[in-house]
Amino acid sequence: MNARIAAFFREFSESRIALVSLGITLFFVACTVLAPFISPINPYDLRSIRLSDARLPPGTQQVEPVPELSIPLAARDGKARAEGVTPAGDPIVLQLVPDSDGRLALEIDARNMVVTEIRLRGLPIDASVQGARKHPIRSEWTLANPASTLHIETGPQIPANLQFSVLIKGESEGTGMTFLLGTDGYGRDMLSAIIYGIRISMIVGAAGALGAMAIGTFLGLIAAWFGGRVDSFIMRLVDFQLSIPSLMVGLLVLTMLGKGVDRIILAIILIQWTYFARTTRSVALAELRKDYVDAARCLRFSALRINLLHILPNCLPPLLVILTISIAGAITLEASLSFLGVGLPLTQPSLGMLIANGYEYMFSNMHWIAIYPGLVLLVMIVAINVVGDRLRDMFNPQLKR
Amino acid sequence: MSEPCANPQPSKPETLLEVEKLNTWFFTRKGVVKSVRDVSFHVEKGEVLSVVGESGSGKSVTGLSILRLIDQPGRIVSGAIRFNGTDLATLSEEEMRSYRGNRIAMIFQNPMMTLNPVQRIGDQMAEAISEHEDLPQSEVMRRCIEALKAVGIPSPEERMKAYPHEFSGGMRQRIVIATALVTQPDLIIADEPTTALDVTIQAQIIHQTRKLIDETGAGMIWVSHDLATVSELADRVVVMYAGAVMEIGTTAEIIGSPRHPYTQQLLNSVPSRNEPGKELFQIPGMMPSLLSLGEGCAFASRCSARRPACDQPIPPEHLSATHTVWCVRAKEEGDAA
Amino acid sequence: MTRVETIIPANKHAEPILSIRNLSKVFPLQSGFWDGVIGRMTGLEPKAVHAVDNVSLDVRAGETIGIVGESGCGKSTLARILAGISQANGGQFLYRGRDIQDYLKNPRDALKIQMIFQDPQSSLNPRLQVIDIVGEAPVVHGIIPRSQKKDYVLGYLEKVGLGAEFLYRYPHQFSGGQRQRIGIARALAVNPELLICDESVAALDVSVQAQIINLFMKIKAEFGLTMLFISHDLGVIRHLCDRVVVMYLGRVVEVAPTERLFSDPRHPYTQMLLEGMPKISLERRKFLSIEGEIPSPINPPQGCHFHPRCAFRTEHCSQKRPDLVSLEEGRHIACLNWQGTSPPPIKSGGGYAQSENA
Repeated sequence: MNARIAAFFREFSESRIALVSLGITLFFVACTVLAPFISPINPYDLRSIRLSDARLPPGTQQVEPVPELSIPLAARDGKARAEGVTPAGDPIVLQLVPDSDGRLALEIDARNMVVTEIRLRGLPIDASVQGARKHPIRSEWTLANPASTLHIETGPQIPANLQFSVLIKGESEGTGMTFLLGTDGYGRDMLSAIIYGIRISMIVGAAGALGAMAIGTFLGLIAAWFGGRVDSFIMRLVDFQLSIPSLMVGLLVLTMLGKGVDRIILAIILIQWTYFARTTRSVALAELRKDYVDAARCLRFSALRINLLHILPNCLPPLLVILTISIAGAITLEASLSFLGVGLPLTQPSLGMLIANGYEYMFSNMHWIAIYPGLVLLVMIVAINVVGDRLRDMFNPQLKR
Repeated sequence: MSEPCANPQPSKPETLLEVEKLNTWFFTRKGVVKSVRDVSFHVEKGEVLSVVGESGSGKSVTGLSILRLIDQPGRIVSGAIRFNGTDLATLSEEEMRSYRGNRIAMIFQNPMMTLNPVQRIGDQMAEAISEHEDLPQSEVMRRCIEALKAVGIPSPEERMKAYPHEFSGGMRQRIVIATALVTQPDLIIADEPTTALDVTIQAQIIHQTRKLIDETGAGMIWVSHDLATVSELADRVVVMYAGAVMEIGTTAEIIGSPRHPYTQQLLNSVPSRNEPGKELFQIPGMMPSLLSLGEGCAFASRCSARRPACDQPIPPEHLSATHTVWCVRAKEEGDAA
Repeated sequence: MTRVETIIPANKHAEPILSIRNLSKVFPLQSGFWDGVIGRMTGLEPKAVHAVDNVSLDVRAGETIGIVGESGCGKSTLARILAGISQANGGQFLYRGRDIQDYLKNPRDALKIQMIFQDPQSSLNPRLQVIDIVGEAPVVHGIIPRSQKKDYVLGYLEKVGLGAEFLYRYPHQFSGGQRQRIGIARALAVNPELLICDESVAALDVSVQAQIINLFMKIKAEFGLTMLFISHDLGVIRHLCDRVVVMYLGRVVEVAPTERLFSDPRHPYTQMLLEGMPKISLERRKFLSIEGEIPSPINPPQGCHFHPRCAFRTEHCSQKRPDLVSLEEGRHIACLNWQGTSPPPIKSGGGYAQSENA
């Protein structure tokens, strides 16, 4: 059996592009299985998402929010002292004293915090702060990279009562996280979202296609075995189903049942069982004409045994081809439905949903939000289809030499 | 028993086709399958040469090789196929096409392989002519009707408008033969043309074929596994086994006094040559794999009279002008097996 | 409906193991809903193929019966009915005195009738190993416990001339002759009484055919089998069978002990068949008397199906269906003017015992 598998694989790899596609497909399968371990963050965990990270371009480093604190000062005759605590928990002491030149000197003692910016708000409008830029309208002075002592000029006389606030901004630190593919409109890391999207898409596609295969194969075998009216009934059902566009069926089912992974799988099964039923019926009819089925009948096996243990295994090769192509079809279908907004809930974004989310930013020059999941979807579907086509070629005896 | 062999035909025979040391091998994943090994024979005008063998003997591949219809992974490795003096093996594909279906016609086992199911048979036959010759329409029609008459199809003028599915299996095979005849070929290669047909129909076709060859003077290679039909139709017989020729002779020599152990034993294992109800004579063992053949006689592994010399290349023994045997003991014993 | 006389087998003393009376099998050609409606409205009889048309036959235990005919004669349909794979539309089919449908209800009983198929390529399930092909039925039907499967299968493989090395191989790894042996082992493994062989050596090469025919004779003796041998090859039939049934377009035209049939064929069709049978001989035959095509079974000629090809036909041949009548002990013929066809215009000879090399 191992030799057979080896020979099968050797034949498969005669087509380079199929081999590459198989590699890509297996990579996506690995993504599906290992998503929690390889994705940088868990995009479903809403706590890990910061709206402040929204719409960052690819390659942006994630940074912590800038530590800042505001300390009010109330000075009497130019003297005041106030204390505050930085977000990191270090004490900051502010001291205001008039100096010899008739100015006020503000000493900032921030031991463990690198102060990158200081804003003074509420000073008299005619005051001036050395080295600071004044807001054109408001009474707000901004100093970048200030020295530890500021000098404030309040005119010829120091006001007896002076009330203002000091806003101290510290240096922001990187979190060590890089958004390789940028972030989406909700501040989710696109790479993680895509990996989880692959996972959802693959699970939905595989579960849908496998479910469709189970049901379709079962009905196809029944149609072939019993023939006559049973056959006619099942096949007319297939014809009826095929006459409705598959997206319509999906929309119908999902609008009736609501969103959810289970429901979209159900929709896919309802759409795709027909292909399996048709193929199984035609292959099984060909197998039924073969002598080994008559031999099995002659050995008085039950119909169930003949169908499941004798006919079905011989129908599998073409069904596997349909299965691969159906998985790709199911993924497309799920993406389309999600894109249309009836597929998965917003909290579990699939690739289609990601594309839909990115679509609104397409014209704001934030292409990455839609392009990357789109590319992944494209590569995934092409790769699976190429694998399916290669299998089809291999199972087609007319192309064999 | 071997009589001094007189020439079977009164007039001096003309050689139509000469196959010399033909080797057709298939280069498969498992190895080189030497389907045809050093096969040599010739066909004369107006004679039916039958190539007889079991499956895997290389008889069909020999027929296809003459028309150069060997597909990948197979190819003609060496040898000459001289048809009226031209070596077909050296021709370009373009030149070969002017021979195929024209000077040399081919008939296959399944008539539906040759007949186009959606074309009227008259049109198909006319196409076969116009592909190679530029003739006025009336002349083309006349030839088609003549050919259909020759193979015994009643009211050919009307039947030409029919589609292949309107005919029975035997009729279809007749039409295929008629299509092959329509270009007035010098050589017809028929590969198991009656195997799929019923006994009574088979007899009719053999009868027609014999008549046609006698009338037209064309040569024919009749590839078959059926010794009985061969004995009724052929002038000379080539016996093949595992890709090599075992024995060549006139039908009388092969059927009447075979000298190769394989021919003898094959004839003896036919039920009608055994007493009913008694155990049939059977050749023990199986045909060896064509992948692992030695230099010697391919039949040696099943031969009861095997000797060391059988593992060496076997030189042909010419027992008469027409009878040649590839067996080391052909000369020694008058009657074997 | 024509009454068909009972065919008395050669050996009158043995109990018939299988007995069929007026057995018919009709395949409707139009079976759709609208066909039915149209048929009822127009009152026309729906088109159908009478694949087996009023066939009666008794088979005694231990006999080997040959059924001969050309394509469309219904011999394979008959084989499938007798094997219990297909069901007849009309007539009676008794096996060991019990109605076949009743008999088939018990699978252990039903295993007594087994079949060997024509095409060794398709008669073995390509996805099963030999051990399962042969051993599945005995285990499923409780003939042996699963633990004994290997030894049991091996025993039967040896009986058909195959060794232990074949146990775990797949059918594609075998030659045609070996596959046919596996098919025989599969049938034997369920202890059958009646073996139906449908063209079982037709697809084999001459040398392999001889081996398989010998195997059939060996197992028949060893297992005490009754055999029904269906073939178009008269040489094989002549070699193996005690009695021969000749069929033409669904009907039996002649029944006779083998030697009598070959030495003195009575029905014009049998004569034509024997004449057309290719023989290994050095004489050139005259084929002139063989004429006409086998008619389509969908639209067979009226009266005697054979009359358009018959050299002895008279007017009433196209009107009346000939009954199968007893000619002499063990011989039956369905011909309206059978007296006219005797003696046969055929040379017997050129056949067996021409053993100039043997």
